[in-house]
Amino acid sequence: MRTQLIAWNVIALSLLLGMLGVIVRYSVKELMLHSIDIDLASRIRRRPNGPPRPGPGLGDGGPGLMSPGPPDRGRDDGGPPSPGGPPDPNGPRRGMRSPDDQPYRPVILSMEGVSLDRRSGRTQPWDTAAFNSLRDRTASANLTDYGVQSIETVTIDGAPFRLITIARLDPNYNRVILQLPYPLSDVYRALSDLDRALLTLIPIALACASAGGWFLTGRVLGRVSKMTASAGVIGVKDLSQRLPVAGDDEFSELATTFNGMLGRLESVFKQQERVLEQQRQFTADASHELKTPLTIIKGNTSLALNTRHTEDEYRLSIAEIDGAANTMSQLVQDLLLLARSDSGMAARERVDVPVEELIQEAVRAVKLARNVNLSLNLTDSGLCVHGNQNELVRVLKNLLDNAVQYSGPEGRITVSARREGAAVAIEVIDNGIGISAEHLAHLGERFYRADRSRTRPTGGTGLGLSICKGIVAAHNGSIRFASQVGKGTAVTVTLPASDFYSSATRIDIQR
Amino acid sequence: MRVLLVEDEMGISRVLKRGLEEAGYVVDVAFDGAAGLELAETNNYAVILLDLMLPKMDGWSVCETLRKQRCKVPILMLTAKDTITDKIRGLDTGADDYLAKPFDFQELMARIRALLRRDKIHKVRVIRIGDLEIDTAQRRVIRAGVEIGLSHREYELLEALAAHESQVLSREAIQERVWMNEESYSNTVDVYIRLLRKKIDAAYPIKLIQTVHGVGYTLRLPEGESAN
Repeated sequence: MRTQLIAWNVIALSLLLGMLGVIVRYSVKELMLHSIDIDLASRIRRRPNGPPRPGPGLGDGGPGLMSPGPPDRGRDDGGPPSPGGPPDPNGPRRGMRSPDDQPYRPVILSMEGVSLDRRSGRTQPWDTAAFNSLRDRTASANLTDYGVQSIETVTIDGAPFRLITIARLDPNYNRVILQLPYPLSDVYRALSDLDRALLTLIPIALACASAGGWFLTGRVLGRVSKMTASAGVIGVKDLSQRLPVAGDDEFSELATTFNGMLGRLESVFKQQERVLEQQRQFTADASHELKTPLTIIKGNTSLALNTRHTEDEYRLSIAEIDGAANTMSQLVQDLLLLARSDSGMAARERVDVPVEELIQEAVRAVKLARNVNLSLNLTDSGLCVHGNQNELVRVLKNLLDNAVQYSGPEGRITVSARREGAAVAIEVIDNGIGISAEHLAHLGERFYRADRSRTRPTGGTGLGLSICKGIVAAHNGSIRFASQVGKGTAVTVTLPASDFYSSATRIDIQR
Repeated sequence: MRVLLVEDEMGISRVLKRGLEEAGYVVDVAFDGAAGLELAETNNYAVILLDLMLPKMDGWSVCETLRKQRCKVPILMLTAKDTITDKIRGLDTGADDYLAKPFDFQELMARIRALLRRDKIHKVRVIRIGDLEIDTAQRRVIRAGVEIGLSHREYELLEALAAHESQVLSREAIQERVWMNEESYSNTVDVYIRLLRKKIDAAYPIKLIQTVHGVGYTLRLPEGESAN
């Protein structure tokens, strides 16, 4: 990671610096040549051998081309300064001198390439090729005293020179060609110095940059790997751990974010564990409950099959097996019902049902074997609820079953229904043994029995109230228990009322 | 032989009681832990069948309490809890065996027989002494190839003697084993020994049931007689 990062950095940086070096190198060269060219052009035009200033409107060139003329042109018309005179501020500078320390002078040439000016000390063009090319190019052109110029780099006597060649008219309106060289050896030396400097400095800069990059990425990546290490040891088992948050930078922000995520994960895992534990407990309980009838069946069959028995004995065994099968089927039915409400399949196919009808159906389904006195108290006979009729009847039946089971032989059970705001409250009250506060809190838990004894033949499956809870919750209702030991229990089911009112006549049930 | 069954589930206790009685055991049933413990403390049982999930007092507590009181009666735990941990807990609490519900009745019977044999010389189902054969599972007695019909008590007495072959059992010891704590007369043992001798020994030259004067009775091959 670190090496990769550095490598990319170095590659990018060297490309950048290389390009910069090349650009600097060539722009410096161009700038220098450009300034030399300007210098050459201005110096060669200071030659006094231009034609006389033409009158306005005169001249064979366009007036715009030549009439204004360089304003300083006349000033230097006195010709080059004498070697012994005071130094001319505009005189030839260093670098403009020939190897014998004489400044290069422009040579004025006739069209035939013969020097017309003895002072230049040169009888021939500086560069014949440039001379010929310009002469041929301007042969048929109208020349002005400004002339036509060309500038190129040439080699004279093995040394590089910048050479300006101008074709123009002399004061006598003769065509002449002027050439002035400028030695480039100093310029080239300076450029190669620049090259050397660039070639030395760029690697040094690269080395510095990569060393700095190495150090910085090391520091950053060090914190990253530290964070990775501390995050790595946080497993599913110890989600309560957190990353250390230090300082106030991007890393602490990252750690805080990570910690927040850990917190959410932890709460989800804890909830999941709770659910799993409940599920595990439920499965264990369900299998225990299923094993009881299974044991009865297996015990009876293995006993009956072992030795010869009388018909009555076989009948007894079969009756026992039958009873156990009933228990099992009841249990399986209850488990399915629970699974239905667990998976959100309850409270489907809702209709408006008169509460009275629900209660009557439930009462019919309950076995009132003993001498139980059941009375109904419906203050509002037209009350309706919106729900699944079978499921709601099942709720009331379960509650009535419990009431019957836990009320004494002279039990009195009252079922009442009344409107409570936007809800209907159905209450089942018995005068039975009651439930102590410690058990009251657990009512509705699966397989929870306030009375641990299963010796009662009416022990039930232990799922009745869980089913009630599930169904009522699916109908957006609630279920409340109130009880006093020895006095009795009241269970209140609250369901959202339906706007629909039934006109059914009230039927009293007394059994 | 008397067995205590502690089981709160009516259906299970009914079928177990029926099966055990068919097999010749006398069965007492308790429907909760407390009642079971009380019965176990007051009576002398050959074996206790103990459910674990019981009202009032669970099976582990019953077992633990009995073992603390130095009760040596074999305890067989019967339960729907069948995980390894449950079995280990049950056996470590002092149970002698552990049977998970649902179980086959024959297996239960075999385990009970195995528990009853534990302190006996003969650890197989069929006890053979000389030409006498006692099938303890089928409660059949054969001598020299001829099946001998015995009453319940006679069989119990014979099995008690045979199980402790060559050991001398006092009248009291016999009474406790065969009659448990049931009311019986002091000469009951002598009466039954006489009845048993008539059926087992009378027709054969070698007499197996012998009287040890002043001590009690024993069942063994007389010295000098080979096993066959």
